Amino acid sequence: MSTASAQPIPLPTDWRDFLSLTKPRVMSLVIFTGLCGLLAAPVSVDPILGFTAILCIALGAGGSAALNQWWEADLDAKMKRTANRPLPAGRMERSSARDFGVILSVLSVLILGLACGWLAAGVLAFSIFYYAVIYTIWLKPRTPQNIVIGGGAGAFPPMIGWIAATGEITLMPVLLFAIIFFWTPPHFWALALFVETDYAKAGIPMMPVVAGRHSTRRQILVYAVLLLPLAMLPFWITGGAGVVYGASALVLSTIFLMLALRVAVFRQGVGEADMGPEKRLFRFSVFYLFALFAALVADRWIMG
Amino acid sequence: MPQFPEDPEAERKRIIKQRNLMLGGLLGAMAVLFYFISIARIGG
Repeated sequence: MSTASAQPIPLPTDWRDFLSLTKPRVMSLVIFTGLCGLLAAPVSVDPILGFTAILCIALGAGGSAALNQWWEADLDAKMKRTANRPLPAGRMERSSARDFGVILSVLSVLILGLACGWLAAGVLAFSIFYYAVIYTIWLKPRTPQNIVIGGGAGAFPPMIGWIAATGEITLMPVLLFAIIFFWTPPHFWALALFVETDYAKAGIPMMPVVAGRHSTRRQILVYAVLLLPLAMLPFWITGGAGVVYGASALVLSTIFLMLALRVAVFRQGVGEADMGPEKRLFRFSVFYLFALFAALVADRWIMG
Repeated sequence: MPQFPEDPEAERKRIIKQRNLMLGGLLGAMAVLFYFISIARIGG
């Protein structure tokens, strides 16, 4: 027990807190889509260089996540979901998070450049800048379209994976980028609809807070409608994906659209407070992305 | 993780030892990675 005069000195930051700065759960999706971009590319990749590319994509994502938490520590303290993160909980100095984020970001770009070329490294550097500066610092607190803009940051990994493998930017990696870009708004707005009060408390202009639930639901539907033909494009274009991907994309995107329709239009018998359709759409959206990209890789391996 | 345990000095030493081990391991892994990247680049 400490005496009244003894001021307890905070403990040093545990390594687990540094790890949690990198948002490991988000990173799993980043690694998966990056790996799919790498494996779906029409070239064979040296296993060591392929591993390095994925490692660097993960490190870059971790670095930008740390910078995001460094900048948003005050906002995180206001939301129940994020209040126990290392910075708002007081387990880490702000400058430690910033330095950790910068070191991870710089290392990831340098190693990727040395291993897989500077085009992939340049896109990775831009994706980190996009997430940490354009999204987190500039636009997230200023516009209810923040999720649309943030979707761009999450859409880079498969593109970087593809470029790391091939060394060039073609239509396919741009399409992979576009699929995640258009998938993100319905995915996050579905989540934002059932955690709306938390975002409102932190003063983040999330779409349901600013435009209302009705408008958010309509916009979810718009993106789900656009996502269907977009997800089919790799199957339709010459030199894109084959029938395994095409069939999977059609089935998955149709289910996604039906769940979005349930959220936006067919809510008869569902009370305004019942967020069942939104929760179902959110859960399926995670599965959708995993399954769609897995189908892309399976297609490349099966169809050649 | 307790923020102020009964023996803060022992806890402090444990955390720093773990962090040093993690950092050393990461640096070692990075050296090995650079070695294999060099081999792969030269081989490719």
